[in-house]
Amino acid sequence: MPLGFDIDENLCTECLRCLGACSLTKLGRVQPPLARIAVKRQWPEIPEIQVCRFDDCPGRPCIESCPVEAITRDPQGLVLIDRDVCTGCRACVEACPYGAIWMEASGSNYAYKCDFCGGSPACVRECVTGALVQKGGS
Amino acid sequence: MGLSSMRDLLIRVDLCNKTASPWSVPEQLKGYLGGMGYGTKILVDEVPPRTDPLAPENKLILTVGPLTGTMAPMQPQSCIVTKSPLTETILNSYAGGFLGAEIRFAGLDGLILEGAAPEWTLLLIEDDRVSFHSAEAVLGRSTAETEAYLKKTFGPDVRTLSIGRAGEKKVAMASVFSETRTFGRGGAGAVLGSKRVKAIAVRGSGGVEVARPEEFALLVRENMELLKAACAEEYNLVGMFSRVGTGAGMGLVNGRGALATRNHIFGSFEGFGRIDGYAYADKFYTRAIACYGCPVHCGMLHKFTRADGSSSWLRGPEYETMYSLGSDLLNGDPVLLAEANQICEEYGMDTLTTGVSVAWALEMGESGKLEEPGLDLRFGDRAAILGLLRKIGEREGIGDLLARGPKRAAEAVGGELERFMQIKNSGFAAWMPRRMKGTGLAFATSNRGACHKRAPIGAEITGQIDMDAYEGKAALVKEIQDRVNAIFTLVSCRFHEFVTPPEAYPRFVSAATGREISLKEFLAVGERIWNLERLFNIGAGMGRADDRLPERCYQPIRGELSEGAVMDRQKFEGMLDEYYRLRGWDQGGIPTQEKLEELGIPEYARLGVR
Repeated sequence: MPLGFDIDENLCTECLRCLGACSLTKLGRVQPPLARIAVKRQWPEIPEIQVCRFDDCPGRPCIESCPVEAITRDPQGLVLIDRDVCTGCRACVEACPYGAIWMEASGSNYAYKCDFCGGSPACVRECVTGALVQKGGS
Repeated sequence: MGLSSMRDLLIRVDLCNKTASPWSVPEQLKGYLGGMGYGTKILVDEVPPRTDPLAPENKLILTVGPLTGTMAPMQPQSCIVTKSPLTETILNSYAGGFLGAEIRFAGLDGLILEGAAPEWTLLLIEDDRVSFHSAEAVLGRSTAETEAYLKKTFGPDVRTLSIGRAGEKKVAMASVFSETRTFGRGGAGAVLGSKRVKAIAVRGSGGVEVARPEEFALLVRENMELLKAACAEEYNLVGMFSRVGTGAGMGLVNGRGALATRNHIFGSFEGFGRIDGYAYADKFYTRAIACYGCPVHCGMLHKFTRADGSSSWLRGPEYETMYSLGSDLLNGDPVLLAEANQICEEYGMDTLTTGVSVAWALEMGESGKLEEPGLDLRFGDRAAILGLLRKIGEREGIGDLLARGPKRAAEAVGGELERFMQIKNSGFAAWMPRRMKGTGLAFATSNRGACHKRAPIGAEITGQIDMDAYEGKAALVKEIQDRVNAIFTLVSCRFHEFVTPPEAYPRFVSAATGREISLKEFLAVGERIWNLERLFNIGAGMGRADDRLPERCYQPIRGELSEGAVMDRQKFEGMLDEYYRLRGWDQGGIPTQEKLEELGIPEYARLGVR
């Protein structure tokens, strides 16, 4: 089964539990702006959920865009950024059609994105309406 | 000290001198947990009860609690405590949305606004830094326009609160808006207006951690499962809210003959089915909107076409507004109701006291005691309803009279206060004491006027207990008042407790803050706060004579579903006697020294000395 998310933004209530869970998992604290997923408010119209689509992303331009080959797709379908290789050039941030890659603000200057929590994303477990549903993975 | 969700830091903002300074929470305040507890203790300690609410000496305290910003569900709210210009009592008022979490991300437990700014001001809070900006560009603008300006000026990620024209003009029932959520009751908007603070924007750069993460995560998981199960149940109130919003229950209330209609003369409204939550969901495009971290998402955003053909959005109306701008005005038109709600949003006014004031004015109009050029003051009249609302917001014509609050408006019309559905000058929430005796006692004894937040509404309306009985209600009301005060220290959404057992709260607090607290101690915090509020109100000149219902409550309800239902005067006074006894107060409603000793606040007895 292809890896990614079934996303129905019509069902998103903008509660931000996905962001909270993501930041808690990745950073050990609740800090929504630093989550690997974003809910772009377009009030009163439906919001845009910004997160990596993995196998549903046509062409996966982030991989192509990286001049140092820091971004790879593993056999499971996970698209990951290798921090040791990333130079912080922002090319992938510009290339991502979903606005789902961000730069770390503080000093280090690496790009970061969703890593699907290795196969079982924490964000999906918090979504009570089914706006964000896991596809594939463990 | 170990890790805690509380940051033990508030910012004191001196508006007169445009300075701000950090204020570390003193040890004895920590026992009040946060939220309403912090606000109440600070106000009672720092503002004398006789203070003019609109004078610079009044303070406005905005707080969050131990669960704010965490993953605990249904904890989005923040709390304002101030002295109310409407009721002249201590006021606590709440709004959901995202402001509370942002205050926590800023590393703060709250703000204390002191004094009054020399000119109209916007406050920008970035973590512990406060900057003062001119409000000139948004003066006279609506709450939505003001908040849009804040986002444009300070960045799209700021969270906000603001007042509209009603707050600027110190309308007694002016509210404070936070996006589409409202600190509705008690006129906090007028207090901000008196301080010339048009709006506040907050941006926090930090995160939230808790003392015991694993234990906390487990509590969150358990609580989420409870809430999800409740949301999946057909007849669970929270489940109904999650599907169509708080207006889901209108049919139930109407069926019990307890839907206040035509200024509380009738107990049922034939038009309810056109304006309840299901009607809005059927008739209009509807999208469920949640507050921060909430799985219930009771906010319903509707797209509708206004009478003039233009297309518009409204999050709401909420249940209480369906009564105050609907049934109570004999308004069964969902578009008119939505437009009326929008006027209250635009001007920044409490839909409850404002709606109740309109109901009174319409009744006065129909009985020939009040008139206004250009308006036909009749129930259900579109032009009269919308016209009166705008006039209140503008303080124009009889709107200026109504903007002064019920007592002053009634005085001007020759003492018609008994037909004004108010307690301590605050308009009735959507419930009828004649039909729900415990709720009647809760309204009468509330520290902030006719308030539904600490009343046995659910138990009475669903028939879990006999709604018409007097027996046992005094004990029930005391218990609910203390318990809800305790959960408002967190600051929990009122609906959270519909599903969550009381024992969960001290467990949450302990895991979040590392501060061990038992259920008994937790509930005692609620009772302590209740008594502090009471002492403040007594110091402000109140007593038993203010714990009363308007005369209409002693006259039979009309309408076939509850024809003749009435509050018995002697039995009401009996409930009040019993309530004071259970509270450990004397028969004048003043806390005894013994009670204050028991609660650990004997030094506050001085407030209650006349």
